[in-house]
Amino acid sequence: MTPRLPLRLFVLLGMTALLSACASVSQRLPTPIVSDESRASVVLLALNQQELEVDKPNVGNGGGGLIGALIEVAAESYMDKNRQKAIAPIRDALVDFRAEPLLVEAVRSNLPVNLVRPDAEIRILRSAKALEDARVSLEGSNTLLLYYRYAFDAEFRAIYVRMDAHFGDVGLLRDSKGRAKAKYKSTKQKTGKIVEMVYQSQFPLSDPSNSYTPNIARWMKDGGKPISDALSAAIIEANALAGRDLRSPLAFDSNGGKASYILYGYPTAMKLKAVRIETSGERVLFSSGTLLAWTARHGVQ
Amino acid sequence: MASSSQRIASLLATVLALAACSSAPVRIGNDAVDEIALAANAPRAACVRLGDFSDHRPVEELGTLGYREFAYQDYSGWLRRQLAARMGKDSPDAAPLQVELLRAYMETNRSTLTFTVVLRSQLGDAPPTVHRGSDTRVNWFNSDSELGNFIERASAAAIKHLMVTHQVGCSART
Repeated sequence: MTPRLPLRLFVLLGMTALLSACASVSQRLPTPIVSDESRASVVLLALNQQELEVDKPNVGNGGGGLIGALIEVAAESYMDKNRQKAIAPIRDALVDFRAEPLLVEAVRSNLPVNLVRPDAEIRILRSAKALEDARVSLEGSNTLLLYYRYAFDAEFRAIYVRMDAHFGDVGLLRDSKGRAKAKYKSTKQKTGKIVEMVYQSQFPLSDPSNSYTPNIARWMKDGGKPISDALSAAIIEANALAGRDLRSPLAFDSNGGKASYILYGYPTAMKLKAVRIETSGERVLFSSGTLLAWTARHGVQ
Repeated sequence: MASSSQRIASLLATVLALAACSSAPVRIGNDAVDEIALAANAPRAACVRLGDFSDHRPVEELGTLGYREFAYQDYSGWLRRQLAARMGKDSPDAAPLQVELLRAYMETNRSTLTFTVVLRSQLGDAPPTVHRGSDTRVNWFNSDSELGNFIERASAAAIKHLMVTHQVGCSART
């Protein structure tokens, strides 16, 4: 076999370049109007992980050119190996923790029943191909599509659950060559047809270290109980937030006082200015564009 | 701002995506893993024999790379044979060791691939032990033989951990 340069490497570096060149804050679109009869009878739950993950380190700039790209790959491989090694004892401690049934239960108990039938089928899809086939078969019916990720950030400063939620006519069409294409691509086309939101619940350590080793030691106290506690709470909190906001969009003054928040998650943690919506005990709900996220009060800068 | 290496990578991504957009599932066979080399290098635990071996994986498929699904139907059987070959087979003194296969999956990252195998063993009433093997490297070819190498190395690491754990137990009993 002729050696081939790694496809995914270039796809993902390419995506990084595109994302960094096209950063913009998207605005919330109106939720499609749905009659009782046209409520979704299927929830597609895209879940492509079997254990708690750790985000990939930000390797920075390798220096430019093809050599630079290869340097970035080498650095990423080295740093990723370190993180895989670091998360192993955490995964061992959680080997009997079943996130998936908890996720399904949380989805079921927080369904926005104005948009989704209470007896809707919840279908778990574990690959891009399975998801594509499922979306092609929707034939115009309203559907709730949820992409899940639960992970630590690259420095183990926070654990988070992220849900990308799409509701409406999220089906795909196949062209004459069998390729699947989105029915609606532009904001104008999606308006009134699809609403897309991101819901997140994150539990950051207070005063985390910049080095992951001491952060892991804090998470691993009591045999890793802080991790299972935070993960369970994040799953429930993110789903409750999604259910609540999809039932009735949370109202807030988007021009209200903004504060600086750290949003943890793939591809990297980022600091952003966002509007505080509400507080509940030690938790703070903030929003930016189509993102709604719960964090700890000590996570506000 | 995208670096020049990112821009080159982006361009190559487009070209390579067009060249390799197969979505046919990949079936890994026993020929993708080198059973003989693995057997020659692994430690043994002769004072135990393989008791119940159960497959408790939540998902049998190994995972996906892009749109390509990878499956190795005989993975459980292959692993069982690997374990049995390293334990005391016919010795009446060998204690039965219960082994569970909990996970076998690949995790794809930006440029690297990690394959992970998780086993759990229990000898009699002793507390169970988790044995984890993983292998993280740059994934160059996306081929079944390359994935076979990932499976082999990760499995070897988990098996080694299990054998070393029970070798220590053997020494303590003699």
